[in-house]
Amino acid sequence: MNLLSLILRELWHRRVNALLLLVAVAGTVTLLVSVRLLATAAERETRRVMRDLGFNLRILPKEVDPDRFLAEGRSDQTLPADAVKRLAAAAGTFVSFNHLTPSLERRIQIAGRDAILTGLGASVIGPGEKKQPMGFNIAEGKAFLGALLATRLQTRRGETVEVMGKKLTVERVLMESGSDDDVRIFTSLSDAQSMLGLPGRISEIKAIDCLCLTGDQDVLAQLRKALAKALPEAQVLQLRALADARARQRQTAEKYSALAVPFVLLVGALWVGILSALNVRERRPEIGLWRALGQGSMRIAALILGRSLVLGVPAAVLGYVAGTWLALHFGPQVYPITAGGFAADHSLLGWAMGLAPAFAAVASFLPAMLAVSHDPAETLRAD
Amino acid sequence: MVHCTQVVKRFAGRGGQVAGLDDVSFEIARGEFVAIQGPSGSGKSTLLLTLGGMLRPTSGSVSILGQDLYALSGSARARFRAERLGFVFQLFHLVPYLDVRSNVLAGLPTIDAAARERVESLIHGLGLAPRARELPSTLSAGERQRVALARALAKQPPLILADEPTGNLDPENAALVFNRLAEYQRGGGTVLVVTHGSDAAPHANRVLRLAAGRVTDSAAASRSSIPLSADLPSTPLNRSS
Repeated sequence: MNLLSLILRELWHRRVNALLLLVAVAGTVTLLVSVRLLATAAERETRRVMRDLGFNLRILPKEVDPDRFLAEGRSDQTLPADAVKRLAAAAGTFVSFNHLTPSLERRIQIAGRDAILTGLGASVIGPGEKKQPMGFNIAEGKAFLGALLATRLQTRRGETVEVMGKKLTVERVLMESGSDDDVRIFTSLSDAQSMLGLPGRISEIKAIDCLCLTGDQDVLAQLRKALAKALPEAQVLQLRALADARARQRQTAEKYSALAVPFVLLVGALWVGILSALNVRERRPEIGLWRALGQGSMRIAALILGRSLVLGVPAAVLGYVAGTWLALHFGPQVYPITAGGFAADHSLLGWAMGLAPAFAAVASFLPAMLAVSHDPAETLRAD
Repeated sequence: MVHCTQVVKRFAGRGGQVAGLDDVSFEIARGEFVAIQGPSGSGKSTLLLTLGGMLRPTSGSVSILGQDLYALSGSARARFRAERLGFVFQLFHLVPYLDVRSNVLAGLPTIDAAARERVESLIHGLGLAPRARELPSTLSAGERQRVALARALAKQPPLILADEPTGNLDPENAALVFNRLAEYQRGGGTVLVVTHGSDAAPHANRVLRLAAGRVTDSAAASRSSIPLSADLPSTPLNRSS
């Protein structure tokens, strides 16, 4: 009789143990699938929160006086616009920096009111990354208006506003933020350069740091070292509160996943191992008999490991379905900001079908070895 | 056929080593039906498992068909068991999730058309045909032992080792089992039965007595020279299969 047939008949015969084993493996897969989907959601949510926090690095011309810059919030010094390209092209830049966004900024007057003109260029992200660019992507001839400025100018979305002799269409009126963004008008970098008469120039490169260092490491020193090599004519200021918040958020999300996965695997493996050990214990007379009939250790081990492998396949499918349902059902409540981003990840089914049987077999390995080493004389001896 | 030479088997006990078998030596010729009698705890099952290659003796040697069993590797000994030995146990030891037919087939090292035919013949011959698709849990003790006997006979081994094969059976089924083993011996097979009672003696050529792990007596049984077919009642179980 072939091995698979024996395994299937045994599974049917000991249905309760088989069912519990199925639940154990499926439960493990369920938790891992939901943890994976929630971790992806956490990453997405973190990215969104990070984006909302804004840039935490400002790369400025070296001649800018930091004291004055911090006091006034901007400077008149400029860098050549190709500094972004040079920085992006330098080796190791994206280890330290990301989302390099050139900007040109000046205080101006619009209709007799103080405002800040900020021209934003396209963000540059690390090669091969799939991150959404941070900041705004503004087309030429368009503008985003701060809430207070829009109110003062009595301008709504779709209307035009004249800035330094150039007419711009208001594409978006921003929500009130309580910061100087409320009196800011955002345009494309090229429009700002043209309006300010500073072609090919930028005030600074905004960026975020990519370093996930521990508290005792000096992030800023490392950023300065990296910048000195890539762009010696610039200096970097770090908005520490934002940087810390970013690091904390990122580490929290990573910690969650890093703790959950080993815990789930350990509990699942224990559960499967105990059930397999109970099965082996119940089958000692049968194992003794197979020995008496001349079956070797490989065959005995295959009988025990095989049932875990066979159950692993349906358990993977069940676990994938249950884990996906859990994540899709409860995930949006946990991560409301990016709730719309929840979706099943079909690649996880393939992974589950490959790994769940292997996981079940590995967890049954010790009981299988117990079965192999079982002395048939113990159960076959009558006197 | 069987050479058991100065076999000693000791087990670890609370008070130190306990002798299961103590210097046991005997031989069994091809075609013999030998009964080993002894009370419970005398080492009968230990001896049978040692002869079956499943319990390595502390010292001494066991040779079957000229092969020193414990000189073989574990896998070679398993192969030897699969091809050359048949077992019948007191507690039947059937695979609980296989039906009668599959349990009988489970004893075969290879399954071909001839083997299947032999199995069907045994199932019919032992009166198991109506129960062929039943699981062991639905069978009576007598039926279970007949399945175990069919499993041992199906592969036509040179030697059958039976451990208290009638210990859990009523007299009628016990007689059927011994008759069938005797028939097998008459056909050229060799049978070794260990039992605490004397019910195997009438069927045996020779009886060995075992006490406290030692062979204390060896005697030729009364029927050793009697053609078995003459004293067997005609039942479905002793028809040639």
